[in-house]
Amino acid sequence: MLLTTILLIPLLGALLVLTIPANFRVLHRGVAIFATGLSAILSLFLLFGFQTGVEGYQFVHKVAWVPSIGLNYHVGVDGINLGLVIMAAWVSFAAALVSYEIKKQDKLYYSLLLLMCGGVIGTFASLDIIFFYAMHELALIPTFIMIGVWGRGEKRVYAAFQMAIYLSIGAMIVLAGLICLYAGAGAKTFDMQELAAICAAEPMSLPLQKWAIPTLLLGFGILVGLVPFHTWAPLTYSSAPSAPAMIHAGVLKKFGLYGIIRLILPLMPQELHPWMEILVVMALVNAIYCGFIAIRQKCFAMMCSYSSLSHVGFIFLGIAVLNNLALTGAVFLMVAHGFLAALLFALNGWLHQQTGGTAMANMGGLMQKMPFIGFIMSATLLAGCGLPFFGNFVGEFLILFGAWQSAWHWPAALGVFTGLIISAVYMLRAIRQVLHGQSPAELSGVVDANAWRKLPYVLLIAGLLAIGTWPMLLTGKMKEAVSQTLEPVNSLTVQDQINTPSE
Amino acid sequence: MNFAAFQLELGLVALALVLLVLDVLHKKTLNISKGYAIGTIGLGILLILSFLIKNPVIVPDSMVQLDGMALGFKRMFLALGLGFFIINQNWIERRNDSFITYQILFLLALVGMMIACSINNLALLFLTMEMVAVPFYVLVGYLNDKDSSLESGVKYLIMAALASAVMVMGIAFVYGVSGTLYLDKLAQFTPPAEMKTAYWLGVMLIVAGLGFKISAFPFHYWAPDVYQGAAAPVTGLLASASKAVGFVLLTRFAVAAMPLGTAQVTLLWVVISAASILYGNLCAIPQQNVKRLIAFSGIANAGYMMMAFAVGDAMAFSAMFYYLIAYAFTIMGAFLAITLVESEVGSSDLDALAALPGRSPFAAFLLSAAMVSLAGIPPMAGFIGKFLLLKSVFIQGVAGSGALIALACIALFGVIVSIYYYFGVIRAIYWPREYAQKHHAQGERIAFPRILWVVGTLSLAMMVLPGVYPALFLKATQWMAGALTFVTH
Repeated sequence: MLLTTILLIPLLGALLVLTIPANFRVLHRGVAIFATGLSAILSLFLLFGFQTGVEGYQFVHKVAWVPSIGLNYHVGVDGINLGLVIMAAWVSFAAALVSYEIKKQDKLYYSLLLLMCGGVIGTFASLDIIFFYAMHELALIPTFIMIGVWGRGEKRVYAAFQMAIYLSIGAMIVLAGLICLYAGAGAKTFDMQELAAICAAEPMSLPLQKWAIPTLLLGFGILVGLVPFHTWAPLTYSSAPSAPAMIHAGVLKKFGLYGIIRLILPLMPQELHPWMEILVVMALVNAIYCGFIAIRQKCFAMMCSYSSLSHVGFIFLGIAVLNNLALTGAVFLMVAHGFLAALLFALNGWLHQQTGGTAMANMGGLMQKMPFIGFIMSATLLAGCGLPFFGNFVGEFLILFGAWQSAWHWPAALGVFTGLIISAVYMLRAIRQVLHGQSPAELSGVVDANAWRKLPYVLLIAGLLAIGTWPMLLTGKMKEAVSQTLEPVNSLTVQDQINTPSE
Repeated sequence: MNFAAFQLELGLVALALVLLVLDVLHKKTLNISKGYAIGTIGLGILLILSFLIKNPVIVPDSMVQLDGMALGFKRMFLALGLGFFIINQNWIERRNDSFITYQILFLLALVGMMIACSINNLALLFLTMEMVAVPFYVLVGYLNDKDSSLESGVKYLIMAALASAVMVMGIAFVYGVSGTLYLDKLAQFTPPAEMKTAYWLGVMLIVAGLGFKISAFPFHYWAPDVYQGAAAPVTGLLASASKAVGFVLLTRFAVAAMPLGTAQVTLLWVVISAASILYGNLCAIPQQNVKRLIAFSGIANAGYMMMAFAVGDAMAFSAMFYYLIAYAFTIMGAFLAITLVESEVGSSDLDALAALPGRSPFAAFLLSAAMVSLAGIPPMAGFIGKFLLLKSVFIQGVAGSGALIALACIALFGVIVSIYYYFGVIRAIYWPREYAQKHHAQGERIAFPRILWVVGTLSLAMMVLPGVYPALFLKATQWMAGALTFVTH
């Protein structure tokens, strides 16, 4: 019930906002902050109530939704989605807090925002694949309207349509793959747990796996922004208002990665290996190629978008090398990157409000004018290059070690190092251009965040520091879930070794 | 005569006659509000009565059967009828028009629709189709001061008459081969080898006639022009109730006369449905008039629903009924808003929708919710409907039919394309082009009587509830589809 409460509060909040007349502007914002804040605080109970060392899902709540075709409302957390749910709740709270930039049609905005928050939490909490899909779509569509109505820049209408259609293509491909899974498993169920049990007992037919894996990978790849399907991301994030950009880049984009971990790895282990090898290459391309593009960017928002794509490459690598250490790292990095991306786009929003644009060439010397934002920005950007004590460091470190253990030692290790060095280049350069140097005369009016507006940044950076300084908070809880996810694949490889006669 | 299967229709005819007589007694100046009240209350009572009939009435050798499917659709038509009666009334009041002409024609068409739900005879199939079509000849050309309305009236008349003629020809062929007009007897009839061509020619001609009604490709040519030219409430009726009648009749006929699910029949439906999906969705992209856009999207939606015929099992038909019911109510909600825009702004172009958020926020919300549902976004009914249809296609396809897999992929492609133009409507409402912003966005609040809120809420409920709590509605449509017996010869 706790999970259901966490996920329902924002959705009910959305309905509540719709019933409040349009001129009570403070109330709309109040409801949004209260609802997301409440679910964020409740999400901490998940963390402390989670029993370490126990296999399977906890906090499970299951209600038959459409019994005749085996659809359930089924939520629960294990080590893998625990961190994601909590991260989603806190990023939602921060997103509601930074929304003071919205000056028109508040009612519509906050109801959409709350819908989105409920959607992202539901996406990662649900254990039924159609519910999982539906919650993702529910969170995706508000982004379209939010970019269109409150977005930034001349190209926002184009950006809104591009995002809606591009991501719908991805989502439809995923839907096709999910229905294939349902038809292939042969049992009338959409339940992840039951599907995993069925596939463990009797492997899904190989021809079906041969089709379903690339279909799902393509769909998820589009949604995450795997090169060459990444072209929707930069324009979307640079046109979106801060809050949807934070939620989308930070949380919602993890849908695809989470889907690969939950649906492809444990359900279709037999045909997995060739595709995962391709994925390793594509992950490295993502990490390095998008890093190089990020170096070229002159606009802070664009740089953040590409850096986010580049970091996603590391996560892909952690998934694709198929060992426990790297997968733990991947899940960890998903959580850490959620906070990081949310911070980056929140900062981008502040810069945009203060300077009226995000071109880095027009900025400089902002550290003196806004010490607090400057401090947060340096910390965030340094976290992005993998500075210890921040969450990203732990995740990248684990992925690097895991990748070294796999068959991909040198290429993977070199790829990760190159990616990290590249990210240091653009992150540090951004610090120099934005925060140091001479401040242009036009920027004399910029101000620092006052007490209340500091809160979202403090919360997000605290999240990043908490998991960075005390990684066991998450990794300790992940062990069982990660080994359970990889168990079907690992048992197959062991069997292969037994079957091949050794010399 | 099987009166038990007929009571709702009799009640509806009685209601229409009472209104007519009252009008005569009042020397053709029947007080609008009095007639309105009688009509609304009468339809409401009939709707409640329809839910009180629980048991199907099936009489052997009867031309009408009140089975589960008939009962379910009768309830739908009565609810739609009530909704449209109120929408029509509001529109008539805005035009300061006479009450009786329009509403009586509408009620009589509704009688035809109700009977069509329970037909068991090809003659009655033709008859009910005409009963629905003839009032529409007048309704489509109702705005006799407008060229576009008259033009579309004539177009509809000619095309519908042609479709009827084609269908009668088909019925003659089928009757000539099988010697029966009864659908249940036709279901047990296997055409002898030498008569096969004649039989299938007849079947195809009937499908063509019904294909006109549901505006399936390639029988869709009338739809865009007629939808655009007719008055908004009439277009709404054409797009929801009239299309639903087509599907009800087509289901009755196809299930009895064609062995659905066999390779050749499946291929036939795959082709028609894929062509409709592609044509409808692609042609809707450049449309600048919302009624015309819904005409093309209606062609595509007919395509989605025809996927059920390609699969041809009870599961697929229950999904199709689910989709059809949700679709009809969604269109009703959309046309509530479009009617307001058309009568207040005087145009149904996309630009005119810019007037909605400022002048009637609820209508703006309703129209956007309808578009979101049509685009198949969860948690709306459109998503579950499309999902159920696709699921049944995929399951049959994975079981070994490549054509069905291809159809499912085309349908998914169509859904993606459709997101563009449905969202284009939302865009036109909430962040209009500069031109529209300048010319249409400002203005006084549009009067929005309480009773329209009720209709809007009904439509909204039918968009949201089946999506949020599908089990209840799926149970109903499964019960409805359970009434169908599939032919396997």
